[in-house]
Amino acid sequence: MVRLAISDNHDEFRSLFEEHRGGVFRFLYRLAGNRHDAEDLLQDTFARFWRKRAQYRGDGSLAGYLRRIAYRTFLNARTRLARSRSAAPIDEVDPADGAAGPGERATGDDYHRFLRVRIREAVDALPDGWREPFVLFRFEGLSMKQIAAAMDLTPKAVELRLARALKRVATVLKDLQAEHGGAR
Amino acid sequence: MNRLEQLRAFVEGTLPDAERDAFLREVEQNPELAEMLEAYRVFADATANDPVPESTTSFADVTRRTPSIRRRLTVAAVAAVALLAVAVSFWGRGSGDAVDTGPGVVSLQAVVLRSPQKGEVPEPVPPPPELAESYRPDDGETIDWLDDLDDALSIARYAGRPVLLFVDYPGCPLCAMYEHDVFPIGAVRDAADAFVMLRLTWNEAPAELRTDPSRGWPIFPVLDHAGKRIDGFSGYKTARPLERWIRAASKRIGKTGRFSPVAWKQVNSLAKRARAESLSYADLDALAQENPAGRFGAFARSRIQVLHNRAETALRDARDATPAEARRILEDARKELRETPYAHDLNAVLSSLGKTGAFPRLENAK
Repeated sequence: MVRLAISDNHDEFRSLFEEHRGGVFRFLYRLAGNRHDAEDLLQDTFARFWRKRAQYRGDGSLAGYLRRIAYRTFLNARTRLARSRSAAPIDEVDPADGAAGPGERATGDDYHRFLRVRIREAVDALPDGWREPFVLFRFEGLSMKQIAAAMDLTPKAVELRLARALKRVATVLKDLQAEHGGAR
Repeated sequence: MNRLEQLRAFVEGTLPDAERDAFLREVEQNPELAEMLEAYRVFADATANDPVPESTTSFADVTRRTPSIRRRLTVAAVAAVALLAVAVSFWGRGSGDAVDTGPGVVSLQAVVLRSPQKGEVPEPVPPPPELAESYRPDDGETIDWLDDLDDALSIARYAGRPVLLFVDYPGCPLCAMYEHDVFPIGAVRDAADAFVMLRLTWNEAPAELRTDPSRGWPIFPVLDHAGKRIDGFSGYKTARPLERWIRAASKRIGKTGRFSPVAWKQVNSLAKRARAESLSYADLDALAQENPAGRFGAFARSRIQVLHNRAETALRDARDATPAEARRILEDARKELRETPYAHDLNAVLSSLGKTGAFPRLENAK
């Protein structure tokens, strides 16, 4: 793989692209929150990788290296992206999920649907620096070290951000449960 | 596997049995962990069926994005023309004409535009509290730049660190590369912690710091606490060489001491008190006189110094600006500094500017 990464051969680059396209796309989709921007960033990521192929020294996994480029590409584009900040992209959220609002006396399944929607909203409302590692942790199954390498942070910093994110979400959940304590 | 990874594995049912029991015991004893576990479980449940669509990007889409030599040359040519245009616009503007040609004379009472004398070491003052509150060199994802020279010098005096100034200009391609590829690198940020980091655009930087950019953009002068250039370089360095340069400069200058966290804590606590009490200028002045040797007196003096700097900066900026810009700068500052002695000086300059259209000569300004 290292040989392919540093090669100038377009055919080899093509096979490398095919091999890693899915993983990088998934990573970017979770960060960008919608398919259109993720496709755009995917193209930028591989174009950037191709331009900088000589810099890859092969001293780590290529998937990790690509994630790092992808994250950097995402950061550069973050301000211009018309990004849907949804941890679960909005076009895949069942509109019926929001049926039971806080003002209603929801019970049973309605109550759980209501909780799920509110928790998604709480995650979406997290600061970018907390939400991004949290989303990667949840959906990509990455370890702290892998997230840290992609985001150019220390594992300790990632752990701290994840813990803060989770505590904030937990506080929201606790408030909701206190507010609707009788609904369960 | 750390505790959060254990939590995730527990929710996903992949935690080994041996660790599972220990984890559950810990959850029972730690209510905070239990709450986090519950929150993660609900979120995982809410997003259990979130499929990722297949990517439709083809290899051809990527190769179209890789710029050809011709495109790169076009971009370089456009950047060169833009650079030339910016340079011509700055050099053509000149500076200080308004001071020499203005017929009016305004006598300043409160604000004295004064440069530090040779050999003079200003009295250390705490940094402005609003900066102390926000300036956390170790907490950001990129370098935490200050954007005001006076504030940076104030912090430099207090922290015992020199200032590393980054001078750029709008549209500078190498500056953008620094921003995207170099400044976010952790090793560079760590090295930069030995300095107070200040970023100014070309027209904001004092004339004496606008060194010859013929060796490339951007410019990185290093300043001592009095604002004098003591080191520096210009041009582009990638992360590792920049980190090495910063460390070497720090060693050369001999000011490697990091800021004491205890001191930051004290300043932060003062800042909180000031915010809560919303001290007026009169209160600050009284405090400075009542408690001349104490910490709160020092803080009050630093607050007054911030207001003073604000007035000085406005006058300096206005002096170098066109009449319309000068009026706007002075009016903004007057609004911020109302109910302080500085408002009087700003008023006087504004009224003189209104009569003649030219910036007046400032008496008492050294």
